Amino acid sequence: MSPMMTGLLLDGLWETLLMVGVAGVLATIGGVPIGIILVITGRGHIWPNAPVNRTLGMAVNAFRSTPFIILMIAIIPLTRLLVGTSIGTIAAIVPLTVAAVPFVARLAESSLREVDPGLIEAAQAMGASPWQIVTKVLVPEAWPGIVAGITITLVNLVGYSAMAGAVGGGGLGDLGIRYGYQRFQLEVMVVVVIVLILLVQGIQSLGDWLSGRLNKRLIRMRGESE
Amino acid sequence: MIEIEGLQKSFARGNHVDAAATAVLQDLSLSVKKGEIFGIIGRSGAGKSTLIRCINMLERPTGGRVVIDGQDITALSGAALRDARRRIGMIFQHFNLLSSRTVFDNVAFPLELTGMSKSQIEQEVLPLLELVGLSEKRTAYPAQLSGGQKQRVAIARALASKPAVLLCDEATSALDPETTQSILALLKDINHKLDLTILLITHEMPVIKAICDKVAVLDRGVVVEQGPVFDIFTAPKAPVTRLMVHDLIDRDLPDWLARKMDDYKAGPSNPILRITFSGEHANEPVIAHLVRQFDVVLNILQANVDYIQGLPFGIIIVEAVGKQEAIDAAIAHVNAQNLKAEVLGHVADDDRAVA
Repeated sequence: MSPMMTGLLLDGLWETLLMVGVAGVLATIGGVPIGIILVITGRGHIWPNAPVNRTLGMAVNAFRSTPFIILMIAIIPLTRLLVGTSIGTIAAIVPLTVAAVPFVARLAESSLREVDPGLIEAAQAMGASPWQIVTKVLVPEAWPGIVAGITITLVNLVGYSAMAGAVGGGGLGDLGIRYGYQRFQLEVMVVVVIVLILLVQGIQSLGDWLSGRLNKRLIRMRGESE
Repeated sequence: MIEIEGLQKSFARGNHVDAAATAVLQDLSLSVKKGEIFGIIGRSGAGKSTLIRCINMLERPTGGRVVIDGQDITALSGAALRDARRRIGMIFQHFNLLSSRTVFDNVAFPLELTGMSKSQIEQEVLPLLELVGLSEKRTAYPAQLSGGQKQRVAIARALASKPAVLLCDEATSALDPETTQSILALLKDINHKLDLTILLITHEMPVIKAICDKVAVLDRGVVVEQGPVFDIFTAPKAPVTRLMVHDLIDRDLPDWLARKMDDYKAGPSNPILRITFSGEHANEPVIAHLVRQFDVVLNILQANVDYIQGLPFGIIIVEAVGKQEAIDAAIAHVNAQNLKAEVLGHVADDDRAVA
């Protein structure tokens, strides 16, 4: 492979990491709070509010059911408003984030919902406020699950970022399409795919390791028991 | 310390709050004195859990009042209720420890809620871990502890906010008998040391027998009987109570004896007596007295002496052999002494109960 190709590949990798990384962070910042609100506004939870719950749930579903490629084009005005342009790697981060937020929200919601209601009850009995229950009980207890959800989101974002080539986002997927597919350079396609596989493997392994480390429920019994 | 007045709780059936709502607690009143260990026993579905949850408003009662240390809890909500709850400790059947926190941090949790400083928290938590015997486990996570250790952490956590009252919701039901004993001993210990009022609910009579001063029997949302544990155990009145006590104190006749009593139709016979003695009288040598004073031979067929709240309670079943007048005099003597003797039946004289 020519030095030029290697350069393109490194650029593509960097662009992919940038898009996935920034969109992943932003989606976590946006999605986890939405997941929390979806859970606590549910019936019988600590802050039941049916209108909020239903409206938010519907919004999340709407975004999740829109195909990414359509979403990306549909929110071009928003992208322009936020970053001043609709073309380029930075511009591609906007639709990626918008697509990932509801995804993170749903995954966080399901982790938060699995927190033992007995823990919430115990915290209430100790005089915890709803805010304290969220920050000191719900989120810490659900955190290993939320981290696993973020891992899945990042892997999905790697896939979505290939489509971001359609708005000039660059990245590995875009490289594969332009050189490998449109110019019949099979070796570029193969290399791109291999790098993407390694990237996804790496993200998944790191996420699994982190989630496992955070999960104190799986910690092994040490020492004698009573 | 805890006054429950006319407490009512009903759950709406389906989505409609109407007259058809299911009543779980009906006009329930109880009074728990300071420093007392008060037990509430009932079968599952009796309303025990709902009752204990109504005391710290985890469930809002539909009627009545709960007054703790002079404060009407039922009148509170929001921040005022949260403040009041800090004075009411609670432990649970499934411990409800935070899995993401170490033993130390679990006990520190209620103190963190009040915004206490880190150094002050440490000063409060360490003696509590000492009290429950888990000082070396301070950095362990709940997943690394046994059930008994988890409940000890939960007890330390409940005590951290220096509550006036401790509520125990089936606190030993998930533990094996040996661990149950150690947790009950710990509860008794903190009751003494801290003069802490404890209200516990359970379906296990042995728990009541082991540590409670008073007991209330709950059945279908109604207190059917309440009083000192000794009285309820030795003279249960309500049928539900009798059934529960029955398991603990063997009042049944042995099968073979019951059969012999059934078989007896006519002819010379000896009466089978049940002598029940409780409290201070149990220490007197009843049988020896009877044999010496009344010229009757007493064959002990079954004897059972139990201690409840440190007081003895015994049941002896004997076959009395002797002249009818002597036996009648012996029975009268026993009954005159605040003991109780009843004739359960007769067995044929030639076919003595003990051959």
